Amino acid sequence: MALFSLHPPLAAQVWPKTSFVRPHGALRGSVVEVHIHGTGLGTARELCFAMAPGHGQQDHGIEVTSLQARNDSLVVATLALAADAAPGLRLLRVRTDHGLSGVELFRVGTRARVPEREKNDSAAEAQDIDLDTCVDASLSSGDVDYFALRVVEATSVRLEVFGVRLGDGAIDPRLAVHDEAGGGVAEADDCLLGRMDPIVRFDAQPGRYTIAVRDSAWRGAAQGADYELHVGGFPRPSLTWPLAVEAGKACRLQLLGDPEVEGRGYVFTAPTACDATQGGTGYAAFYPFVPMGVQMGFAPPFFAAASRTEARVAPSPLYVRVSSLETIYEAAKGAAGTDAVTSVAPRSAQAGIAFEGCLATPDERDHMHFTAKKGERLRVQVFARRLRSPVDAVAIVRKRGRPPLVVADDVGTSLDPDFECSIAEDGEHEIEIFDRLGSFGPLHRYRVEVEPRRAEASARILAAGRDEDHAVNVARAARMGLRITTSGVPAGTRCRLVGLPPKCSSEVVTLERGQSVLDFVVAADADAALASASLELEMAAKGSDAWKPLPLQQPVELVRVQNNQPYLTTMESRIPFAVTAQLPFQIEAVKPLQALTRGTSLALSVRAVRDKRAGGNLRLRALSAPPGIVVGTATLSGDAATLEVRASEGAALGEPRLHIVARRYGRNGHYELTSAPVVVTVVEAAKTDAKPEGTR
Amino acid sequence: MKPVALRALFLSAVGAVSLAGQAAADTDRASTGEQRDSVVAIRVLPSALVLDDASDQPRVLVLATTQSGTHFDVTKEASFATAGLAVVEGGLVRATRTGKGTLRAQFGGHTGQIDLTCSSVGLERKVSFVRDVLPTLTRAGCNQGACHGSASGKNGFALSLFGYDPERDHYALAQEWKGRRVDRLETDESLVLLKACRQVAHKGGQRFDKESEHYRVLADWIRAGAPSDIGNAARVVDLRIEPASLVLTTEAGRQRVPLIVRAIYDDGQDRDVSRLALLSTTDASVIDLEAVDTAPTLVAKARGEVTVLARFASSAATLRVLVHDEASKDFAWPEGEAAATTLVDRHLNERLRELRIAPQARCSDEVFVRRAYIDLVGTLPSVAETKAFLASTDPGKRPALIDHLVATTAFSEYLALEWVEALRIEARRLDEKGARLFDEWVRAQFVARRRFDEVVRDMVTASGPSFAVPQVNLYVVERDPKLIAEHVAQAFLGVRLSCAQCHDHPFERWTMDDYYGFAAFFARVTQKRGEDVRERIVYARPSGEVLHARTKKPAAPKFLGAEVYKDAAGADRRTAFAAWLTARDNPWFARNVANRLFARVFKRGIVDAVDDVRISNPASHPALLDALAQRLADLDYDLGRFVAELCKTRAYERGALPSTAAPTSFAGRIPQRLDAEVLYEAVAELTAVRTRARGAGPMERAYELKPGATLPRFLGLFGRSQRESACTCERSEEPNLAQILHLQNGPEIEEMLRHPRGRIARLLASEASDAAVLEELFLAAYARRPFEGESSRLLQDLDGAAGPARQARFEDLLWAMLNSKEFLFCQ
Repeated sequence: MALFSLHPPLAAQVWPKTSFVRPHGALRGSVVEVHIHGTGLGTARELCFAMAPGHGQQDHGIEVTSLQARNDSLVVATLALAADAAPGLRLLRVRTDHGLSGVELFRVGTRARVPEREKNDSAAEAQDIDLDTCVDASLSSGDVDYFALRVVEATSVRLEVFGVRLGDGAIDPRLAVHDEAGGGVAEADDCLLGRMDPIVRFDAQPGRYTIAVRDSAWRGAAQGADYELHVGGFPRPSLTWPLAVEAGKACRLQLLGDPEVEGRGYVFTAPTACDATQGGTGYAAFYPFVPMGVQMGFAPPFFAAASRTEARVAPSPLYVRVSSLETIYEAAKGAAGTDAVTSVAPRSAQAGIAFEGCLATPDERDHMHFTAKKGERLRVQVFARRLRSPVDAVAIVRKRGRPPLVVADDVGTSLDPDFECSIAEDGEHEIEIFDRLGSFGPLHRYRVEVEPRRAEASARILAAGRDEDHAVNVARAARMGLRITTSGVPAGTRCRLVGLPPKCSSEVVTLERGQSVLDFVVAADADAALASASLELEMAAKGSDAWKPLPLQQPVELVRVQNNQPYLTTMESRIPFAVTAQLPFQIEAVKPLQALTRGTSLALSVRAVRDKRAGGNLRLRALSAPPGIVVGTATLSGDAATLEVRASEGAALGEPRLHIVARRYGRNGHYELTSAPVVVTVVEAAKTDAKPEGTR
Repeated sequence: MKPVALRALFLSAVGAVSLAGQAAADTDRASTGEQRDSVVAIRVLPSALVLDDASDQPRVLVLATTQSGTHFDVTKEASFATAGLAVVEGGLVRATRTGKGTLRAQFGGHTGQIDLTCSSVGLERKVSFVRDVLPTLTRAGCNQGACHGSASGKNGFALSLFGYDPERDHYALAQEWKGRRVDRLETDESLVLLKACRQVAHKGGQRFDKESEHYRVLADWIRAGAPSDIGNAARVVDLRIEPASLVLTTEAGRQRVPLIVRAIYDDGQDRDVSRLALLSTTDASVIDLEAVDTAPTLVAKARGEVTVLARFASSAATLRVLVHDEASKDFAWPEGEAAATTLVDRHLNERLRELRIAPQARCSDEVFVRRAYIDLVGTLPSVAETKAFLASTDPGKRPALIDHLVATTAFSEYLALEWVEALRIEARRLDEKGARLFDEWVRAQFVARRRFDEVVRDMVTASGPSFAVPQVNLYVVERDPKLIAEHVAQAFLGVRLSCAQCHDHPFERWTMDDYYGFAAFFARVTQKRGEDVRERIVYARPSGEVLHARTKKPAAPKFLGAEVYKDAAGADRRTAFAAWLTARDNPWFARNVANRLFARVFKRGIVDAVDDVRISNPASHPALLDALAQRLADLDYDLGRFVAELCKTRAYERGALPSTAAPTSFAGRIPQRLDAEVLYEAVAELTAVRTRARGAGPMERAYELKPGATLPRFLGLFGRSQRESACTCERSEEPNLAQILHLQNGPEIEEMLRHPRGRIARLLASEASDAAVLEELFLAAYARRPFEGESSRLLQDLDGAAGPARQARFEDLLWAMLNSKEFLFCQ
């Protein structure tokens, strides 16, 4: 009990939550002070960085040289960014003594950052900025920010705004550029590459240009809605060609959509960690750049990509599909100009085949051929909008000369068709691709992958609530339940968590027949070190001891729009985990004295052992329940409470184990723990003459 | 708390030129009772009579024309001669023998005659289901929407609305429920007759009695076995009202004139259907309708102009009637009135002469400058602008001001508001961003002064994502092809089609075939969710049809009132539709746009409401409307130039019309309360206190507010359009108590009056004299200087006050001005 007395006040014990980080990024090679705002941050101990999806598993290149929790809602950290840190996004979590926060985004950039200087609310008050800078700014309600860019000699200027992509979701920025005479030079709102964020390019003559940034709905936020304005001579192409590369292999890429770099070649090697077959996302991020000392418009040599010291690097990447499928590229157009039949003899779909082409002419429809056998079930994936191509693809699969087998358009929020197709007869088949709106152009590129359907195993953590983060926080001397839903994992497969810190443990869980959810309970010893970890999942087939990775594909929803639908999402491939300080209570589910008869219910008693100061209600629920068993919820306000456990007539007989979860809500959040398992015996009604005492 | 008495005092003092005062200018020109007009001629109507069976008893009308051009009925007083062919009793003609001749009428020494043909005198014509029974049911009200003509009928008995579906009606009457509604053996026991005469319980009450003509027609039909002649019966191809034009007088004894309604059938038959036709009038205060001896009779009640509508068997006819009163006798065209040089003035003046209404005199410069700013840019003129205008001695300063205002961006923005409303751009049906972008797109087209027909074509043929191609939001507002068609028809053609979705409207032009044919143009327009969940992608599918509700078959695309469109392979039907819509020979589009703009300038449409063009809502000045439509097309749909031309007319410069005068005469400016947005701006300008709504850009006026912006409560109170339908009625000008309370007691207004940086505070800080402050307030509020009486009285009330007391008194004065009619209304 002496241990309990050391606990901090309840308000500070909640799992931490972050709301935003300022600044949202920093120049590599610099030291920067960042402010992380949120709640429950008073005992911050660590900043956990990870590379964003598509960036491989390289070192994130950020060293935290100091970390101080100013109060419960503000952490100030000093970060030293390695000079050779890879540009791009990092996922950031804060670990306190009481848990891990949700994800914030932090951008490692290649441009010097300057803060916005108020007052810059009119063209006359515009803040002077230089080329190749990034302005950290914010908009309040009705605000318009003006910046003045003085161009000394004719050059091509790119502007890229990060508003919604910062992950705060506070603004939908709009950008306008005017020359000295007040004439409109460029204007942008949404765009294909930046989505809700504007990107523009204009050829500047010597003179002063005014850049105006505002929220398209004039909203902003009371405390300021942040955005970044990147100004520079960086290249801003919108697509690579080809659209796919092979993991770990140096591939030649061309960049499309920016005349300054079109025709210039790049050599790019996608990290093997990006390969979907190896647990990656199937995409690699490529940051277009212009090498040091090379002017835009220079002759096109081939550049070795990913040099870590290039200055003029685009602030956001292009995504390249990572795939090892043989790819056939569109041949030159025939005389009719409407068909893009490849010049290569049709390949079998059995080995997997990919096609890449372009809808360059009005109402163009491209056709790709492959052979397939009756009974084969193929997966056809189109990659266009996912790679930021303007194509809104429609795909048709048919045996040549026959009616369509499948006509496919969008899938969910993706405009790219992704479907399965059963082959009805042997022979040569074709895929027809066209744009839904009949649009066309040199950037209207697409890629189609055809391969036999495979059961791809994957897993995803089930958060307890819709808006809750999925990090796993286990208190010392306590347990924490973790529910993971799987796909493509056969029944009987054993799964385990890998990477748990010392003095933490978890059992191997077997996926039962007819189920897809794995329930892990992680226990931490009382003397386990307060630390974070990134856990991975492994699985082993029934009767096998060969363990292999079970890829985690965990969406992290950063921004939601319109009735809480996800707008900006990123991915995590590891389970964020932390050992936290001991909680001021423990719970124990008491094994019922009697069996649970099918068709009846019983009262499951739960006891709490509390610290003197740990009053208040605990919300009780079961981590999960087997089919046919329903466990109610209860509020534990004193030392004990009961949960109703009901068995249906069809409930499986046996001795299922139940874990009870107790959640305590504080003013700024919550925390929870899971009980040790309690066994309930389910019996048939016929085996008892009367209802056991205590049942209802 | 403010001293209410002081404010009331100010309120009575300001606005010396009240609307009532303006009305007084329209002096009563009523005559003092002169001798009756002498008759100069008589006319016998109709122009010919053909009596082709024994039951045929058409009406004859003898109409006297007076010296002053008015008409009155002398049928009863006239004597008739038919050379034994027929007898005339109570205005009804009954054949007595077969033959051809003339019917001669004589009255007061005047004679008139018409051809008379009598045939088959001994034959009783069989009652026809289509020709007789259905019109009888319609006349008796059985098949109206509130009774058995409703979609589900009444008490299990459903008839088609006004008999548009004879087959269904015959089935319902003669066959449904094993024919229980008719008794072919005991005719008088037929349920349909028992109910109609209320011999058994009938919720619809008694529709006619056993002695009536209606009963006889139905009983004869049932007695004959309730036969159907659908498919064989002649069809009405034309409906005519006799006389074709009429000028009535309110003079006692001459007020009543019967009408003859004639139906022309496709077999050449010309039939008097006066007793079966339904008649209505557009203004019962000018002309009322009575049934005298079963004949529809007009009763002149007050000076004015109305249209009388006759409806019979899917046809309708209109008659324009002028009514003169005693005062009309003294009518003389004002001497100082300049000759009409513009299109609008020529047409309006011509009509005014016909109506014997003198137009209002030219308004003052003060009224004009305020009117022009409010109408064209939706704001009050600033004090400096008013002073400059009033000081100018340039005789061309009025047209110059119009040109100046029309050239501003504010004019385009304000003009766009009407279309933003008609297109229902708001953030409930559309995503907020989509609505905002669509709103901006529409406004940008107006600011860029694009040809309006091109803008409409862009919208109608648009495809793509709703953020990148904002005009596709036209198809996001409504997604069902039928609703799209209704929306497009109302917004761009001023036609309300919705009734025709369920039934042919018997008295309007549009049938179900028209409706579904029109909707078929949008049958292939579809949409899907965009990559951004808020976005919609609109596109045209290669296939897709609208099913006709009655035939259950795909409806072929058909232009409204025009030919069927033949699909071209792979073509988007909307392309052809847009071409038809904006073609110069489209009878609806240019007229609709011209009418909307006319209504904007003259505060009433030539067709009013502007989005409700129908036979039963005729144009007050059809020739002017046609001419304006032509002019708009000639101007390449440059709405700015068109509005400028409308404003550079004598008609626009006229003084306010008295409230007692008929607005359709356009004899003067129709006073109108300022629109919600304009009034909001006016209050802000008068008090010089402006608050920015959340979601509004810098310096954005109330009528520029974009969807999603937090609207000031003021706008809702004063009737800002909710944009839930394309109807212009969405914008309300109705006064209500909440508005008065808000203006008189609202804390928001109070705060604006007392604002430390408001107009009063600023003026008093400048150490201006009371007289100077008073002048500025009057110029700001009314665009005029105070009249001498106002000035002396107000200065007397203000005299002696200093410091906070002085400020309080001026605040009270401003409050009174803000609540005065002269401020709230535009004259």
